[in-house]
Amino acid sequence: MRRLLKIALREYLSYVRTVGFWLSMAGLPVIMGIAIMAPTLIARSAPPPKMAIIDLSGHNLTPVIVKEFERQQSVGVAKAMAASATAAAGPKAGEAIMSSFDAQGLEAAESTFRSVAPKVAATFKAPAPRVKIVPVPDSVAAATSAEAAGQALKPYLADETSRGLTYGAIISSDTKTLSVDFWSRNLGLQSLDDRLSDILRDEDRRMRLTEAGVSDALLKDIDAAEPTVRLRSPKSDGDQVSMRDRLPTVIGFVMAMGLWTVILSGAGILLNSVVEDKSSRVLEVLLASASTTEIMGGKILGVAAVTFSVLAIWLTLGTAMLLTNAPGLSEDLVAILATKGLAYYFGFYLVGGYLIYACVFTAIGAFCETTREAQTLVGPMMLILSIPMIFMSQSITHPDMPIIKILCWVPPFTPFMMMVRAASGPTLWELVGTGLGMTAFVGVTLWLSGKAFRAGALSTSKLDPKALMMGIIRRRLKPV
Amino acid sequence: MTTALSLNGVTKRYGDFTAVQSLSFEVGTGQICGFLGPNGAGKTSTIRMILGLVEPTEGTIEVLSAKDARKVRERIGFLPEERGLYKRMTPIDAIAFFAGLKGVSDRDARRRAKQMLEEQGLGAAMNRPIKALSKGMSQKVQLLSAIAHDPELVILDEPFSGLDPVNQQSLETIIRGLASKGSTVLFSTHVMQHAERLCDRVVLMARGRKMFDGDLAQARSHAPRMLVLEGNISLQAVQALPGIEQVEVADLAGQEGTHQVQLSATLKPGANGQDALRAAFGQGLDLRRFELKEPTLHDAFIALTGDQI
Repeated sequence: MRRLLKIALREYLSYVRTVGFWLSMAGLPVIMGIAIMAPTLIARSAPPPKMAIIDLSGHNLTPVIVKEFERQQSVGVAKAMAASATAAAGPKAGEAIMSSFDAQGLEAAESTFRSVAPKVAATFKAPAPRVKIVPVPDSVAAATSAEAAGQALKPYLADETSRGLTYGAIISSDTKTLSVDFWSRNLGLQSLDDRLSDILRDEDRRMRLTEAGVSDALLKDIDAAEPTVRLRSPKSDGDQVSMRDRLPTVIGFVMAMGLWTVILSGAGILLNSVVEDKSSRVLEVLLASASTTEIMGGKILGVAAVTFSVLAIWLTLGTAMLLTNAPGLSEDLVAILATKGLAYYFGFYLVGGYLIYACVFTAIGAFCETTREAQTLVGPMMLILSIPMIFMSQSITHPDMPIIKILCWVPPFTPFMMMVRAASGPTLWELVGTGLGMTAFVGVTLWLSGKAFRAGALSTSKLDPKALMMGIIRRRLKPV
Repeated sequence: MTTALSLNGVTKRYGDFTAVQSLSFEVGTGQICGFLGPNGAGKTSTIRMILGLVEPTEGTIEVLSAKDARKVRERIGFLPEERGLYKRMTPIDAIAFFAGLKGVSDRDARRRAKQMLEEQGLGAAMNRPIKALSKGMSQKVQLLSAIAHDPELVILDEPFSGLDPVNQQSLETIIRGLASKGSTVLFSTHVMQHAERLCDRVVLMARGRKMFDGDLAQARSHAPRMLVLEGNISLQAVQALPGIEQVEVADLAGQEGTHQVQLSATLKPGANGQDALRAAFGQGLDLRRFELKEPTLHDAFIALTGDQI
């Protein structure tokens, strides 16, 4: 044990003493921060795109479009307020704001926002509108056909100064239908044309129904009479499925993704470490100084300490950021992690999953003199590891799909698949059965990889899996 | 004398290939034993079996009275043929780490490491990364890592390879120092001069088989003694001297037209060179040089292994 701990300590220090370790540790939160903040920063740093509506239809559609865009902007503002309130005061605060908005509009939502999360409301900055509708330039307005308007619009789209336009929507109509020529400065995909199409389809429907003799009052009644949909589930804590009910599934998925990343990173570090020791012949010296179990165990423990240190530091940073920016969610998160047992599952599956892949990668590394050789052997392992990645996202919406249930029983996938399913309440039988299966598999992996590691550490030839297995079996059968 | 290492009928097969065949020998405590043989003789396989890194297919090995070297690994020091050190570690950390694995306390390990490095003239480099050291310096660090825990048995696999003459001399001093403190040293080499200077006894290997096991005098006795004769002499005249088994022309010595020649004569086993010298003077042979050459370990090795190499 003393030797195992010495090897583990050396392994740990050899990583944490490098500049690269600290750079990579600081790098991920920075990159994640940039990724989270980037859309907001980009939106704030540039003025909203400008769009001119050239209405040649004769139906005076511009006010209708402007009004609908304003309504959609209000929805966006209400959602942003709800998100800020949820972060500050919990999911109920966010739900209260959306209820106020649905019932009484944006002003009521703002009032609720100020009451449920006054501090955040005071500093809240509404998101900028996605598009600013501007007056039509005179030369374009003078056009009498869609073609002429398009020609007149082109110079404004090419002009990237403040006088220029980003979009131009030329609306025309024949006897039956409305049509839109949506001009854009860029060739990239736009969502505005779809929104415009929806608005005009609704307006076209309203005009036809009016022509057919349906009164405005009846039309408003019809529009207002949206069916009420209530989402219910026996797994929900309350009457209806709330955001709080859904949060565990999302957290489970995030934890499973984290688990996958942490385990893979740890196994990768181990692989490189063993390959380095093998190629520099340190492994042979170590074998003369300690047992295979002590060397493997020491390396696995040392790298586990590195991985868990990274995890601990990131979790500390994440918790600090959560408490600072979203104190309202922290209480719910802690409650979910504790009551749903997700934290315990994470610990169990982290240990199990890490041991499985760490052992396999360590054994593979013992047969490799170079990283290139290691990459060749690890390729199939990566393919196997990608299988849970494919199905993990499906587990959020369909946790009880047969294929997902089956994958939970495949020990190398159990840690990831069960982690993501843990939040959706799998049966006790599934939890215990898959847990026992994984534990047994860890035992078998430890035994086999120990034998393989010993054979590989002293070998000078490439790995021959068939010969290796036969050798292990022969050794096992031989009486000692 | 007690036995530090004992091999009895040890065989190692890898599939159809036999790396070591029925090998038996013993090394007494405090002895320096040369384990000699050409590349592929089975030296490294034997050393790995002695260390318990691989199991013998047949036979038994006893190391420091233990049936399994792994049980006494803290009393063994090992320097592998291909050197291995953590390149980013400093010499003092590396030596202390390996000594620590062998049971030396951290404090003692660092103290010993510092002392040994200073003794070997590496004091100034003790805190530099090993990757910044010269090859000779890193090999010294490797050796010090293998012996920092004062092992009772030191196994060195080709310790002299890659070292310049100065460092070879320094390594020989270290090995002698180990033996003088009571450690048993087994070292493999294919350079006979080192073994000749250092060893109390030698084990000669070729193609997995032991060709000889004994002290240096016994080893040399297997090679014939030679006489070198130079002068205006004929092959037949030398062949007729007493105790001469075979004569060969070694060189046409001297200037052209002087009929000077250098002959190399092999003495019969047990023959006395002095008898040949007396007979040569008695017969009035025109000799300018008469030299009796004792066989070297290299000669013995060639004689013992013959076509086995």
